[in-house]
Amino acid sequence: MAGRAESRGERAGGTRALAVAASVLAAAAAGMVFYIYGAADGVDPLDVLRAGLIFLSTWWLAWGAATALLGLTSRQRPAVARAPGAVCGRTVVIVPVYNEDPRVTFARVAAMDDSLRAADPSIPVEFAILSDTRDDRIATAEQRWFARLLARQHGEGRIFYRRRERNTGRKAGNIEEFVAASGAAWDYAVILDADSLMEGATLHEMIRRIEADPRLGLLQTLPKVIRARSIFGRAMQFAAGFHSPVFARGLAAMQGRTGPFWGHNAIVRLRAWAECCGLPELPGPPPFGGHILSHDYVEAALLARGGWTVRLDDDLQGSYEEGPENIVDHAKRDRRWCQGNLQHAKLLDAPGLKPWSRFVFVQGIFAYIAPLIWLAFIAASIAAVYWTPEPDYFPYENWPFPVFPDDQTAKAVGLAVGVFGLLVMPKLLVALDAIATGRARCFGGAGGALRSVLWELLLSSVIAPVLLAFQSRSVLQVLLGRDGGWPPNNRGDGGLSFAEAWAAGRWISLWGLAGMAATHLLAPVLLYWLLPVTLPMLVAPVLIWWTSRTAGAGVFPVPEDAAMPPVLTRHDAVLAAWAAPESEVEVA
Amino acid sequence: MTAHLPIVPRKPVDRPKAPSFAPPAAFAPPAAPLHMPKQVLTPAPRALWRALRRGLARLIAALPPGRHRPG
Repeated sequence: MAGRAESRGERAGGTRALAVAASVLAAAAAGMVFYIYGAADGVDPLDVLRAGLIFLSTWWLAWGAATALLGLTSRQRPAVARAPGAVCGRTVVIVPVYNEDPRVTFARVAAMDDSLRAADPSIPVEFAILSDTRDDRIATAEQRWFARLLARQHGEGRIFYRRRERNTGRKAGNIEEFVAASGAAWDYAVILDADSLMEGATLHEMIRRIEADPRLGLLQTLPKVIRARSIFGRAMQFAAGFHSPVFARGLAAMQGRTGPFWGHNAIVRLRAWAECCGLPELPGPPPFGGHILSHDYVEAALLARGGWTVRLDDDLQGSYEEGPENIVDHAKRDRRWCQGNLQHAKLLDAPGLKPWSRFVFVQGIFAYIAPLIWLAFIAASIAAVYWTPEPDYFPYENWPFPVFPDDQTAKAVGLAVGVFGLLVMPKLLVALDAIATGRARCFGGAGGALRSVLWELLLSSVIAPVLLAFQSRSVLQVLLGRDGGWPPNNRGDGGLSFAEAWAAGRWISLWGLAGMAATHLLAPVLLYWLLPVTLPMLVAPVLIWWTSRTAGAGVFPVPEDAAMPPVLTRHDAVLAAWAAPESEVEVA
Repeated sequence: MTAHLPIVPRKPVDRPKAPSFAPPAAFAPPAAPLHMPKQVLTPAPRALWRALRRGLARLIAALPPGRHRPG
């Protein structure tokens, strides 16, 4: 076992070095080309600054492309150990809830419990619903629906519910309090989100895998997004189902023994968790101090620090979650993640962490400051045009012929094509791979999948400036010390009225307009070049409203449309049986 | 005696019974404490200072003797 783990670590070390070297080389090449282009008329500080910004932003893009390429080329996985025969360990499935609709959430528990018993009733798996709900009306409904869940599942003594008086430490604190008070009753815990669904057979497989490897502290699955209805939600669901498995395979090739934890749809060894994952409050006030928001990355790093293996098994199917249905809900969730990831800056020098864990923190931080780097590049480019002197065609006295500056257009175009290629190429390669391997059949066939990929590329390019604006605002709010709090997730159909979209996106329109005006005044030559950024910003409310509308049938098809997973069918059946008159509680 | 009992209308068979629910202390997870120590995530300044001094001492020891180093 140890030998296998060591060889996995060595292999991962080489793969990581290759990916980091390739992305840094690509970034250095882009920075160098830009520097030559910018310095053709003489070097000034803005050229150096812009070359540096191009280096950083290209590194980020190249890193994503390298992960995808690794995913495409590392098909063969080493065999994963699994415990055959009877399972000895006891498992609890933890469902933390926070102001959720209890009917829908508890129906998920019923569906998973049914699925577990159908798969293999001999493996002991229990459930614990851990409520952090603050709204007393919803809490009362939770208790009523819990009674109903118990009655349906005959779950007394194996399905538990408790509500905390104070939600200290949010989700991480909720789990921590449970583990500290009751953790010794079980060997393993499957951590879910309120919107998670997992097949019973998948849960059993995870239990067998963690039981087979005594050093495995955490096993993460790759959840698929389900039940998306809006244009935005369907596009995200398609991207997650079609592209994410390849990116996850790339990530798995680099993980070694320090894999990722995404906070849910994962199984943990409770002894390891208790030993390593008691999170302290960070010194100072929020947003950088206080409770750790993006606790999952930190918990993965702490398990690795404690000598436990953290692993992503991307081959595990039957793991599901729901995603945001519109840009506003996405931005709201992103605000929380942004604050959490930037907070990791305080942990970069935490004692004893594995170098890869620190690098993961850097990646998480970079994911949020990358938009600011692009914005800074645009601003520096406008300033550079404004301050560039007019070319002097007759620099020599008494020389009658004009001297034209070197034409550097080819370098600029080459760089733009390269950056665009890094953005688009991974997704196109994933599409070609899916067509070649037959995976595209489940996504509407080769033509259908390719059409979806191109539409998704177009849609993501159009809404990118809007998301960039939201992200930039989040980063600036955090840097200015504003705490985003812990807003509950919206789980409705996600449709927004135009008035709601206007209220959420008008500030982006104003910034888009201001950007266009500034470009027109200071650097009119860049006006058309910047239209792909400024135009979507200008019409941000329309984009927010339109993408929240229900998608037509067959838009962005995914395999789950054609063959609904059994646990989803069970969930629907429970929901249908639990329809009115008991569902009078509406959750805001 | 039976004449004084209230007459209760029968509930329809298919209507789900309204659950009556006491506060769910009885349904809380079992008490089975597991020690969960708080982790140290911020480096102790003293350890940093010590590491810095050790590093400097090693650097000085590695330098050849000369005007900058006695001996």
